[in-house]
Amino acid sequence: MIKTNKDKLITLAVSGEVVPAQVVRTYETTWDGKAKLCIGVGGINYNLKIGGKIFGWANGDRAEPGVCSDNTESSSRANGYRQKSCLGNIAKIISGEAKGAKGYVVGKHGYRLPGGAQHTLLHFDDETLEKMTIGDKILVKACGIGLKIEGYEDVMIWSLGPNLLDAMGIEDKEGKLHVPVVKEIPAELMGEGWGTGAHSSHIGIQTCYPPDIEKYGLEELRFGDLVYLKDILSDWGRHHYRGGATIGVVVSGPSDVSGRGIGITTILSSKEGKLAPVIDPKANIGRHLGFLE
Amino acid sequence: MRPLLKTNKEKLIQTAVQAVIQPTGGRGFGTSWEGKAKMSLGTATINYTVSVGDPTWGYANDDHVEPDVTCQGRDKPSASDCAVAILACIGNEARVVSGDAKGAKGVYIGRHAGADELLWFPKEVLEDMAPNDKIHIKTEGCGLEIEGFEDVKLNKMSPRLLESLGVTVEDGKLVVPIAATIPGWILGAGAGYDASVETVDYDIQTTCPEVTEELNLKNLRLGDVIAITDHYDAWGRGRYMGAITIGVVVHGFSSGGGHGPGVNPIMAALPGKIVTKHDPDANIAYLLGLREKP
Repeated sequence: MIKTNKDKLITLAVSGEVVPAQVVRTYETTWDGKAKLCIGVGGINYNLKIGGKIFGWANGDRAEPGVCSDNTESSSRANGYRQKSCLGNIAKIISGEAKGAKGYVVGKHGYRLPGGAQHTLLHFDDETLEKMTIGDKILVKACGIGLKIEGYEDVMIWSLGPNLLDAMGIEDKEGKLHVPVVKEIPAELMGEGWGTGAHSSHIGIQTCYPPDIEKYGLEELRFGDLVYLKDILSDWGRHHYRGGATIGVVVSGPSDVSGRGIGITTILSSKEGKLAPVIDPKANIGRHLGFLE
Repeated sequence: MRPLLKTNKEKLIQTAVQAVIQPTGGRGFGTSWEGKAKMSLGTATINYTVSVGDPTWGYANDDHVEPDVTCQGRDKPSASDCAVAILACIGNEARVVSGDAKGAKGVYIGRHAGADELLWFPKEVLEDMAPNDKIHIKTEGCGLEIEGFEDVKLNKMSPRLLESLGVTVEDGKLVVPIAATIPGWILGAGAGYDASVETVDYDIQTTCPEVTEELNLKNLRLGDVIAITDHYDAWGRGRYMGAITIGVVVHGFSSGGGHGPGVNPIMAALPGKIVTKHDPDANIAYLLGLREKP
């Protein structure tokens, strides 16, 4: 078991709303110069779910699971919603027919999405999804900024709620945090999202070189899976750093656009090699949060 | 005399575009990859200190340092949508059309998305220039192709630059002289940004000190012609094993995580089309005659 400072964290209300699907009517251009109508970003994606497969969706390109939300009042308020919402935080619907229903924050995805969108991804049960619509207001009880693990204060934590951290099955052994993950991803596969602030948005596993998909078993990944990004540091900006490591969560499907691919929200980062992967095919935040069998 | 490559240069559309010298902004402190505050210098406006051909690092408080004169289009709300951003090619001729330096001529030397259009003028001209001066560029290069190598994508490449690169053909492949070879896996910010290679550069990450030393990144100069291995930057910027992208270094080091010297891709080919040979003088400052070889 790990000990944290969770009793010292500030919990704040941040608000957003369900945002529309984003589609580029003139098509996007794939790595090999072909036009593609890319879909799956924004709105409510009913059949893409935490625990579901990320590959194989027709015309999908960085497709997102579940409900996509953001704050559309001003850029400052949008930043507040995007930065402070953490994976595992409770999201409550506060307007519309599904008012009162609760779900979870399950992802942050936002590097160069169509329409300049940035999304805080939410999970709600199927019954609730049927009642929801675009524009429904969401309140997130944001909690996680400043979260630290006792004895590992140099391990950076971003976008991670204390309830999810506690449920991840992390073990403190021989001076390292052993984190169950589905896969280890080498740094050379990483693409979009380099150089972005680590507190929001995402970094991507490139899928524009098709042989990588089979070689690294990327097709096995599912929405919500935990992954270990080797030699990637996500302390202050996401970048290559030999000996560093980042733990992230799969939040989007693959892409056919050059440099783009499977979206990963980064949640733990260590410059000094304090994170060790333990391969566990069931390491998925849906299970950790208790809504996935 | 080596035979010149055959191209379609006589079919290129020559178009006038305009930009103005972009005043520098100030956003307070930035954050370094180590979490330290930094007052960064070196983007936009007229840089009297740093010129194309100079080192990419080592200036006080430098971050993404841009050589010479930085301009921006004004014909659309976003600089990257302006004609100059898309049509201007490295090696195109620029002319000052307002202010005290009116009539002076220079050369387009690349684009750093965000600041944006980089232009070289003789040092004495800089003394007469000021922010917001208008610059006219006669653009030429969009659509340029090498006969027999139509599948090698050229980008931001004027006929003048292509003819100066010293590219030859051996065993059915283009042989391109380059100052350095950079592995694709160290390319960072700007990868996957979008499919537009005309308007977006991307950065060689200089935020892992061990890798910076190992790859000799401090040897890079502004204007260097380099090869990026295992990247195919024909329609965007991203990974493709065995592919080669040739690029020009347009700006300097950064201490922002994932950032570093920026590169404009100028040639991109799938495996088997391009080979490279090392030439320490493969720098556009020499190739375009902007400074004497040392």
